[in-house]
This record gives sequence, structure tokens and C-alpha cells, in this order.
Amino acid sequence: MSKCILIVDDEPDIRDITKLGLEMGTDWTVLTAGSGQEALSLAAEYKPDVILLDMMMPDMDGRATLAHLKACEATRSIPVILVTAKAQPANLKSLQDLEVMSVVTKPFRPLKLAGEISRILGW
Amino acid sequence: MEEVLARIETHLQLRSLQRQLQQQNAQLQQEIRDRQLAEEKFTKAFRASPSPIAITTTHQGRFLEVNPSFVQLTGYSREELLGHCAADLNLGLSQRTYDVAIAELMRTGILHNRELELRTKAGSLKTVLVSVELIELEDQPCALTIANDITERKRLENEFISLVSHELRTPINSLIGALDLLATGQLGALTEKGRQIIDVAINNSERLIRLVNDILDLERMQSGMLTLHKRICNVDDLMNQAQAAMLPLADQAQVQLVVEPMDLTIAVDYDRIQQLLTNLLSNAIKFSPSASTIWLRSNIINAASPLVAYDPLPNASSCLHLTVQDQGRGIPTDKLHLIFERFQQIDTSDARTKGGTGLGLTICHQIVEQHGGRIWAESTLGQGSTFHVLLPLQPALEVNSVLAF
Repeated sequence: MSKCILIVDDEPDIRDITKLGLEMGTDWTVLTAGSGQEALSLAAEYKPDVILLDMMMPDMDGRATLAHLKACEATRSIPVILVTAKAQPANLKSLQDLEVMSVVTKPFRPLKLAGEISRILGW
Repeated sequence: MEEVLARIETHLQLRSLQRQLQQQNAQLQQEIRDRQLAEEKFTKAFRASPSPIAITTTHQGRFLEVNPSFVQLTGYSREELLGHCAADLNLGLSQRTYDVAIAELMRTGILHNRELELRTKAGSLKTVLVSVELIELEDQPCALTIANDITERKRLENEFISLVSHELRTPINSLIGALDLLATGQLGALTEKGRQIIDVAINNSERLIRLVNDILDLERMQSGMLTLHKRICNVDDLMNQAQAAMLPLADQAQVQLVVEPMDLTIAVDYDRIQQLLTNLLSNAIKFSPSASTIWLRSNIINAASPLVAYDPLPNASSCLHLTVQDQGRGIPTDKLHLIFERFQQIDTSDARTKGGTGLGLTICHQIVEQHGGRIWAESTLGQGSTFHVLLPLQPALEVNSVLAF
């Protein structure tokens, strides 16, 4: 069955490239959101199979967006994979208590991302 | 009459001698006052100097005098410092570093701006820049050391590197992602030339990623934020794994990799030693002509070996000795001591033609140091280089404690 994925990143280039990369290798439906706020409404409306959530975003960052997603009944069970450019162990350690499936570090290769997501989620 | 005259003459002589004595006395007193003034001047300058200053014997490095700034820098009182040497006080200065520096000081008379890590009494590490002048005090050669605490400057520098590296990751992500997508040809057919150009762009983007990763790795190692995760590892496994990882690169360069592993266990950080071995092997491959051979060898050496007899590794009665030998172009003797410094490629065009970052060997050096080991290179121009690594084999007690974790 075709999967639906929501990419949340404030960088339009990253959103476009990631969406294109995922669409090239799969038949998944790829939605994109440019802010935490937009991600919350899209997640509640479309109930994607996974959310790829960037950590560093202005206003509502990844951590705050995640907290809202987990606090809302409609989005609580959607698996989340964090994306971060801060790949240092101290940074990654600060993420380990969060309710996420995994953490992907930038720079990632969009063409390999679908395989990575499938592996993480056991699809 | 004659007697009276003689008495007068004696009296006059005595008066003259007395005047001479008084003059000499006054002169001496003036000299003493001048000396006291000069001494006071220099003592004040020494005491008030914002730069930490220490005078040590060159023989054993015993502190003869320190100023209050030095006391403040180290956290030790003047009394705790005087008469003791850096090694007694655990100031973080290894005997080897000290010996090498003193040998150079005795040869040149002065050392300028040497960066070193100093451990304070409280145990914190401070980065200091020291200049040392050879002086003579009471007929013995002494070292006058003037230090500058650059810990804060280094912290800001490292923070800057870290910030820049992170800010680079996002645009590189877009760049390499876009190139990957173009290279698939699914966005429009590519000519052969077009594909080549995209490959060039992808290779260079990958080089940029490696550079950012290397800068981050190094920054973490040098800022002490990288903790080793030691576990019992098999040397066989470490070496074979490194060979397997490097085989595609070796095949591409038509270079033969010969590995001579040994059945031995050692407590090391597996990933970091892999990084060390693959860095050394990839370096050797890059500088090897096709049809040549690279050897990765291992053996155990004990404390009597000439490699460690002069300068033993602390707490290690025996060591694992790893060597990577190539038949490449070699390294000029006058450059051998530079190769472990950042961005010190022997030929500046190497970064472009060989795709390296100029940080690989600096990272190797850091990894080995963190393991309490030693790394160095020997080379003959036109015949090849051999990189040596010594890693201490842990005493049984320590191995057990490593196992417990």
C-alpha cells in the first residue's frame, strides 16, 4: 500500500529536493510543510504514515512541534523521524529522550532516504 | 722635630685614607641603592606582570620562581610550585614533550609561541601559548617561561568552527541532493559530457562533506568532547575490517593491500581505531603508484624495545605496534614533523588531486593520543613511507574494568 510522508523543513530547497528524491524512488505521497504550525494542521488532516521533522526551525522548532504532535490525540501515534544538522554526540544525546523513531543527520542523500525510512520503520 | 713632622705626615696620610674610604663607602652605598632600585623595579615588573611567568631549571624543570599570574593560572600556591617540577604537579606536560622542548631550547636559546595544554590544580585544562628564553642564574642554565592563557580564545575559535560547520551542512544537503537527482537522468537525458560534469560536482560536494565532518571530528577531539568508548576488540578483526573498507579504493588505484594481522585482544574504541586505520590506508593508497603494495602489519613490543626504551608509554609494559608501509613517493625529511598538523599537505595541490581534506593525519594523531599511544612516520623519498602506531596494551585490571562497562 502506498505510504504518505510529511516533510517539515523551513528551507524550501531541502523540501523540494527531499520530495523529489522520495517520489523518484517510490510511489509514496509526499506532503511538505514549511513550519511547525503548518506541519500540525497537515498532520491532523492527512494522518501521514511518518513525519520527517527538521529540528532547527524559526518560531516553532522541531522539539516544540514534536511536543504538540504528541499532545494531540489525532497525531500522537504518527511516527516521527528527526532531521538535524547538529550531528555532534552531545547534540544527539539531547534528543535521545524524545519520542522519535530515529534521528537522520544532514547532509543526507535524498535518493537513499526512502530506503533509510523503510528500514527504520520496518516497511 | 723630626718626630713631630713624622706624626703630622702619618696623620695626613690617615686623613687621606679615611677620605678615600669614606668616598668608597659612599660609592658602595650608592651602588647598593642603585641595585636595590633596579631589583625593586624588576621585582615589581615580575610580580605585576599580567602574563604568567616562571623560572625553572632546565635540568629537571624545577620551579625556582613564579609570579602571582602564574600562581593564578595554575591554581597552585607559590610554595606548592617552588622546588617541584611540572611532572610532580601533574601539569599535563608529558616528559617527552618537555624533553623535546628543552633539547630545542638548549640548541636555539629561545622558543616562540608554543601552544600546550596545562592542567590546573583543580583539574581543568587550559590552553596556553608559551615563549621560553634560556637564561643563566647562579651558574646554571634556566628557562624563563612567559605564558598566555588563550583558553577563552580557543573556545570561541572552536565554537566558531562548530557553528560554521553546522551552517554548511544544510546548503551542502541541498547541493548534493540536487546533483544526485540530476545524475539519475530522470529529470532529463544527460549527454556523456553532462554526466561527467555532474560527477565532478558530486565528487567535490562529497569532499566538502568530508571536510566538514573532519573539522567537526577534530574540533570535538581537541575540545575534549569526544569520549572514547573502549571495549575489548580483536586486532585481527580491526585490521581485516579496515582492509575490507579500503579494498574498493585500492582496487581502483590498482594497489595491493597486504594485511598481516595477529590474534590478540586490546581495549580500544573500535570505531576510532577503524577511523585511524582507514585514514592511514587511504593516505597510503592515494600516494602509491599502481601495481605497488601496501602492508598493514602488527606485532607486540615490550618495554625493552628500542621503540619505547628511551621514552616509555605511561602505564604500559607492552604495546601493540601497527605499521602501514607503502611504496609511494615518500615525504621529505624536513616535512616529516609537519604532517600531523592541520592542513599540512606536503604539496598544496594534493588536496585537489587526491581529494583529501588535510585533516586525516591530524585526526589520526588525536585518536592515538587519546588512547595514550604514539604515532610517527619514517620515510625515504622515492621509496615510500612507513607510519608507526603504538597502542598500550592495558594491564589486566584495567581490561576487567573496561569489560565491566
